Amino acid sequence: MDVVRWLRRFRAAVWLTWKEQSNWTRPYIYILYSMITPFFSVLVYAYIYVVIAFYSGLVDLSRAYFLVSGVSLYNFIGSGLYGLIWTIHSEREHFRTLKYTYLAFPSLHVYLLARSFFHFILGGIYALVMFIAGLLITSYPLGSLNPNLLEVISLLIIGYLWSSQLGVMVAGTSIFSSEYGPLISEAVGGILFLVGAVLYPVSALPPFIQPLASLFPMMEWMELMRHALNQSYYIADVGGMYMSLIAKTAIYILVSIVYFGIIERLTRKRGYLEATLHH
Amino acid sequence: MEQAIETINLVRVFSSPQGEFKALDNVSISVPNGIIYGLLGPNGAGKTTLIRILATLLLPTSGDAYVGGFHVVREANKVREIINLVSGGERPGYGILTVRENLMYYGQVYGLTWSETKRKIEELDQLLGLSDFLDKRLNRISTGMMQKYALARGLINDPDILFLDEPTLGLDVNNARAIRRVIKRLVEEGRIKTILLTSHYMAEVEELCDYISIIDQGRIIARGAPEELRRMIEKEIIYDVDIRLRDVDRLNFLKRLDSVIGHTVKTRQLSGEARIRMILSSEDIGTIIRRLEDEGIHVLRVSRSEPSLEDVFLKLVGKGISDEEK
Repeated sequence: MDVVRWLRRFRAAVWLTWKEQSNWTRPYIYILYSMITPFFSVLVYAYIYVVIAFYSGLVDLSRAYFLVSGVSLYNFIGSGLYGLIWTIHSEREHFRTLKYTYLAFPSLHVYLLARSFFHFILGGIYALVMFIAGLLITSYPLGSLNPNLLEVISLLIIGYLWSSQLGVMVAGTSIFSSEYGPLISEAVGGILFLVGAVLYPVSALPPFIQPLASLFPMMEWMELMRHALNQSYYIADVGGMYMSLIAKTAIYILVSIVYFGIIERLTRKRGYLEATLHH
Repeated sequence: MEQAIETINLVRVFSSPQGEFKALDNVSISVPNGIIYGLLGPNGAGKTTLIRILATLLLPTSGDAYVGGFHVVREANKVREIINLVSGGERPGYGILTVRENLMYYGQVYGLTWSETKRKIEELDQLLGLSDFLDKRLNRISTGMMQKYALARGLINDPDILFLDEPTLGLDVNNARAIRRVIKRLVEEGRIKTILLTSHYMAEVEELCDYISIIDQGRIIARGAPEELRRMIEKEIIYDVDIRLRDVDRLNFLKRLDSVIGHTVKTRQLSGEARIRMILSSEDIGTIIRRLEDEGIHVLRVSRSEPSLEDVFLKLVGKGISDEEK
């Protein structure tokens, strides 16, 4: 396998996403523009905390950290996931290029990963900015953070691996429904937000929903990221949680490869690569 | 000699709530290397379905197909390395990017380096004349320019085998002629080894192709070099009869005449006339004209014609290739 050629292809797909996203304006305007939604999102949650703390007099900085880190870090997963799933829709329905992409890029699976990479990078930047902004708003002492950078980077890579594979599976499914493709991506993003320990611990969920949380690696990833950004964030069994996260990630990669292979075959069987069903 | 393309009893059935539709019915073709092979047939004949299967975009229901010696189902990745596809009548591409950016992107996706892709674009500019619109956004270029861009994209990876699906569809005469000129040059200059071209334009196929298969309702109904196909109707007599446009509706009786093997009508709105092209089994045009006049149809002109591919289609199918479009 020619790694250099693959990297070249990967880079081209990342570049395409950047151009697709930002071509309507100057890069810094695009970055500012695309930060507005996540910024106001963290602002809303941070102020909810501030207001509750102010009126109840119960100031709990550990809760502020939980809330702000959850909402901020969700951007990384949410942005990447949505960008990946949207790729199928935009390539087939808007640009009508999916069949040419299929012919040109040796693996549609890898292509989707490459197209989503930019969204994950952007999501990572958002997460960092929102994290700092949110902590400032909630008066969290930034100096008390004790991040382990190596752990943060490793977790970002693991986060990219499992969430992009989840995205590939959802994107594959969305090939069969051009009308509901974008809705499916929002639904999956919503489920992760609900059960992924973003705003509250999984134990706060109704018991019948809690098993759903264990299907996704989101909770483990979120908790370990909180720990990696601030070593004083308490997790009872860090090693066990890492094991669980890595195992789930490996399963996601494996299942995604098999599932997408089946989807690709079905797509060719039904001729959906070039079917434009909606627009 | 190894065939560039080979299909063996290829069948493709589409299922829908309305029932099943056989788009390809036991299609077997062999395309040798180094030629332009034409697939001629009316809309819905199965041409595009065949190309989609050969380009690995669609799976056949049964049968086998090989492209460059590779099986289109089992070795689809290897097939994709040696082919490219250009479809007419579409506007695919990233409209937000310029033509140059689109080509740069595809070049690199095919694994070329930045500088190799740049060189390739210069080369394609020489061949196709892209310079006027290379730096225009794709969504702001005309249909003719779009088709030149599509051809450039189809050539960016130097494919051994190029599939051209109705490459001049929707183009005006000048642009269609320019595209045809390029297609001819591609094979003459050895840039592309083999081209499989589909079209429902007789003249296009006749001008470009070394070998032709005529396809109708999913079946190959005739095949051969253009002159071989024309020889299929050398015993028949072909006449063009001009009538007034308003009499066209009264021509149904022609189907019942034994001496008329087939006929097609081309209308000319501007002059208010119509031309009936008839393939006759005998020289007896006088009887036909008398019958036309008995039906109240005024005959304006009668002339004997040389056989064309259109007449082959007419003889085989009993109707003109573009009759359904009317």
